[in-house]
Amino acid sequence: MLEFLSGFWDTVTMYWGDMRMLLLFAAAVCILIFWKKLGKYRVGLLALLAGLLILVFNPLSQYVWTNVMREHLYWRMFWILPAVPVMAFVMTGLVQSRKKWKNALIGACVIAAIAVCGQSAYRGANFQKADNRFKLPQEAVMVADYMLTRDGETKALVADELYCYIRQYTSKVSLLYGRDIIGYTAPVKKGFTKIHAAMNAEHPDVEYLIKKARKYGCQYIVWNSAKELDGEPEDYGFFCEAEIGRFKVYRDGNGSEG
Amino acid sequence: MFETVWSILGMGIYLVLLPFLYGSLLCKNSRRGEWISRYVYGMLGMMAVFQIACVPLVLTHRALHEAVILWHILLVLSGIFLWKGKKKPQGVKRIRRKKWTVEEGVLLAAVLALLAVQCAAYVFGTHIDDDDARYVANAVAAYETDTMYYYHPNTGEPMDYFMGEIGKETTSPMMMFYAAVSFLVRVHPTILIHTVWAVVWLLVSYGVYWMISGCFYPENRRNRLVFLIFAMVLQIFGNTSIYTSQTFLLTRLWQGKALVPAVFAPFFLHLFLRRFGGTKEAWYRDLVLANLAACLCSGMGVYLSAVLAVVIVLVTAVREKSLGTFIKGCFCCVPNAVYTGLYILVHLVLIR
Repeated sequence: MLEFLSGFWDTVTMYWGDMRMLLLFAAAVCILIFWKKLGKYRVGLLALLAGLLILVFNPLSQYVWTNVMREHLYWRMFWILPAVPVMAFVMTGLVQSRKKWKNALIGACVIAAIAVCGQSAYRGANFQKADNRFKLPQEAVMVADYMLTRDGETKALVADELYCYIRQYTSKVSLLYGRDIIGYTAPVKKGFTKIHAAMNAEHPDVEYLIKKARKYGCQYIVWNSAKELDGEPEDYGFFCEAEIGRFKVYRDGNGSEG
Repeated sequence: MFETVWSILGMGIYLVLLPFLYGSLLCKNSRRGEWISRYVYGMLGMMAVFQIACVPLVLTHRALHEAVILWHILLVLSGIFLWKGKKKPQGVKRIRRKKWTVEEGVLLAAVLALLAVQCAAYVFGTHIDDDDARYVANAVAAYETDTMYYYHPNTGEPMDYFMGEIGKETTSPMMMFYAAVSFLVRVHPTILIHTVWAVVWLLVSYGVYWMISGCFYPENRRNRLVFLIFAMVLQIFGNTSIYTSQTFLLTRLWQGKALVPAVFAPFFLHLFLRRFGGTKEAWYRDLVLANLAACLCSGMGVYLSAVLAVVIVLVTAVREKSLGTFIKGCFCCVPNAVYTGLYILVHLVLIR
């Protein structure tokens, strides 16, 4: 029973973060319950919240969702909780004084409370200045552009830092693997995990990787320049044609087909 | 040069004019005819029609341009149907346009400033999310090859069947919606998705909040603006974890799943409040519209819109003491059930 309840609480805390915003929401709901001056829609909102609490936001519903529906993303149910409209409705109700200065003061206090309880979405980690119109890492765009200019449609084995972005720029560059190699999208072909491990080794085995790249029709291999390779790609027929940012672009000089 | 001119004109048509026109048909003869409401209804209407058009074509491996053609045919047919519909408005009160006061002017300036900050973040900044390795890559492949979910988004290999997570997208082809518009306006999907669509959905989301405020304060513009300001500030400071709806709204709104909390959850609330306020006109139709459009967004859209619709319908039915309301409301979730069934068939590789 304790595990049952603590599982639900874990989801709540995971979703709401450090709980201050949840407390602000709880305060708004308390005002909604007790302050009748908010008007008729107060009853509607309370009825809706009660309905959601009974049917959705409780440990039993989480149990059904995760065990019967086999869906581990129960926290997304919080997306249908009308927290923002409810809080905004209550806060608007607080600034109804006849005196404008009172409303301005209360409004400023409410906004300060939101700022203290919340976290800005625009703090450092969330946004950076766009390098290009595609809003993709510039290196990925330049590597893809290089390949397209050189060969048109082609296939490549690329470093992990690039595989999420190249096909957002162009579908004409196929990849040996992309994000599927770490478990997304769909299961990968047998053996690709070993290739991925070799690409990410401290000293990637050049002979092995070139052999595999040729086997699967890759015309290009793109390594992070910081990697110390075990072997010289040139000895196996792959030549460095470009250095773009942190990456070296090697192309098959033996004319393997993409 | 011609292509650039067409792209700008095309975006004006498909992202501004067409939603307004279609939304005007959906909001005909109704107090919901404010221009913001028309735009919101229009976008949702276009999404709903695209969902009906696209899913069968995806499952039968048709081309993107065929989905575009069928979408336009259904838009025209449904537009004619809506135009000819002769519904008498129920409980409509004519809103007398009041002059703007100084206080309202200041509040409007605050709203526009907050909106400008959020739009500027999307236009000039970037939030790189690795989920786009599937989503946006699907749109790019569709745009460049005129196919739909034919190529593996991560590798570019042709798929024998709708593999893994692609199965979810076949019944919620949001990326094909983006690819279709890109196809029409001739702008690369990644540019359109990461910049233009993000701003469009932000405006639609706050449009829905404006509509909600219209339920609470139908004759009080000052209160509507205050409500919107608080909603915006709550969104901006809602990044208390990476999971919150506010985080998704402000950082990756172009993703289908982000539209569920940003647009559809508040839209369902608007429908609930509208009915609570006594306006029953086109309620069931709008529930179906919202459910269909939410189904386009993502698998989460299929489930969450159904859950929220059922809760809303149940609360309304209890309040009105009407079993009929509940039954009819549940029928509005039939699209969700249909798409869930199709997804199961895809997942079991019975449709490939």
